Amino acid sequence: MNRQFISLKHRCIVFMLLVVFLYPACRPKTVPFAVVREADFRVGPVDLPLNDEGKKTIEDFLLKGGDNRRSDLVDPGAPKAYADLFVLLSDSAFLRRSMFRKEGEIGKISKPLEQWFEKSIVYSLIDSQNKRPLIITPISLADKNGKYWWVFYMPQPPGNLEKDPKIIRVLVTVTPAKDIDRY
Amino acid sequence: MHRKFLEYLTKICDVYLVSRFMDERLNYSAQNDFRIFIPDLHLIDDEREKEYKYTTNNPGLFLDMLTEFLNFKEAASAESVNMTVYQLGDFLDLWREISVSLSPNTATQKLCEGAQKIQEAKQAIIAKLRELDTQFVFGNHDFDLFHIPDFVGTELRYYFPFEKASAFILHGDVFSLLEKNMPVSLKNFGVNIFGPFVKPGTKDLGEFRKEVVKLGLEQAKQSNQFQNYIQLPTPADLSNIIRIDPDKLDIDAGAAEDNFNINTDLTYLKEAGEFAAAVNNEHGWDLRFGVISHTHRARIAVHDPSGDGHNMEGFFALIDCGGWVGNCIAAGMENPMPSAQIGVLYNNEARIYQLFRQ
Repeated sequence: MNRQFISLKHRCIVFMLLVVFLYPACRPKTVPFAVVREADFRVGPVDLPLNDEGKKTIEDFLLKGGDNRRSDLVDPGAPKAYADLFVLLSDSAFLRRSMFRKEGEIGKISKPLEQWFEKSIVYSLIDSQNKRPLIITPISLADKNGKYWWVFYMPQPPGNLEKDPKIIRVLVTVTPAKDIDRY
Repeated sequence: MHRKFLEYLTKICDVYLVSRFMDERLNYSAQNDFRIFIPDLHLIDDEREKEYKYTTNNPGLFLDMLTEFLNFKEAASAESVNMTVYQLGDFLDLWREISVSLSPNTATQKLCEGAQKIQEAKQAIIAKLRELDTQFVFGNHDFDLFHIPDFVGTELRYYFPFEKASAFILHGDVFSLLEKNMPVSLKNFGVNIFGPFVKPGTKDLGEFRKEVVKLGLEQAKQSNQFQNYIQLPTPADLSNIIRIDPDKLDIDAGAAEDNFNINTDLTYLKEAGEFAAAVNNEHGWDLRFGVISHTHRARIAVHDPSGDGHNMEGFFALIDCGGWVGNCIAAGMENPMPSAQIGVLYNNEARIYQLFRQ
């Protein structure tokens, strides 16, 4: 047996394994963030609990596919798809930050919201409407259809800061889609 | 309002009526709503254009047409008529511009650069379309634009009116079994690599796939056979068309029948009707007609089993607005002319025009 040959072969294998496993770790990553888009492509903030007027405002925006300039329908299924979400957002008892989070997990959404949103909560929000980032970070949830961010706001200082603050407003904004069902 | 629109259009070019359909069953009688449909443009950048034997026709005419749309919009607004412009997809031709096919979850730098190159080359046209607040539809050649934030607002489908839809707008490729079943990579490859060799006046794209499968990709590339299969049949046969007299503008005065040149080409009519029926079933609507492009064959096709002009049973109309690439020819014409079509809709009347300027 040629010991030198085997040793070189093993070194190559180890090197390749290192490359395969270390390369993803070395690639630069960015923190996930939500972006509030231009006025034509957002609705709100709408006050919570949701009333009929607020519901219609958001519903019309979704029916138009997230474009306020439009007078046509794009997503006729929106009212039905979000009906139960609107019920939740009308319920004061639900509108607490703790109710939006999975128990014990600051980064995951609670079960009632899983029907509409991706599991991870995003706490970084870029909104150039504001002078600076908000002190009490909104909860931003990515819509499962890949088209919207739903941004849920809490009271800001110097308002009454509760340990489990109320969710008091929602804004819906368009995001570049990752995928669209083509046919 | 149709007449007023023609006043503006005939200032800049000859206008031919390709097809007209007037019927209350369209259920689109709003007197304050005028809609214009711009079909396939297939814009690419100037350098890439030089490599193709066919490209977007008469961009100068197109730009002047958009200027007249703006002028008409102002005039219409003064009479409380709202004008909406739609571009029906294949606005940019990414398959001809970029040599790589994108998977659904890829948004590459190459895509952004390709789209940006076209935008810079055609910025006058794009600026005017945006000034018109044009509503864009995804086509098959520019579907990947959904990755780019600047193209937010582009949609797969529209339905109108908002209160209770009686019509849909989409590109039309969704009705093609070939488009649905052929892999995107093959379509992109075929158009990008073989497209520069194709002359207008060629055979059906449907045969292309069979030929490539038979010969294998490498051999197909080297053979001349592929040239015959890239482009849809042109010149598109418009059958009978009527030149609009700019001094009269009135096509009701015996120059055309009430429903003029309703086409015997029924491509996609059945599929579009089935689509409408499925949507009606799901949402409790009553869609009566659809507006598409994609085929590059301007026509209005109607399914009217009763034939009595009143009965709603089975009624459906398909308004195919043609394109701005390739050529078209009509009865009595010696030579084809560059396709330059638009669709218009107002007060239960749909029309398709062919524009021409030397």
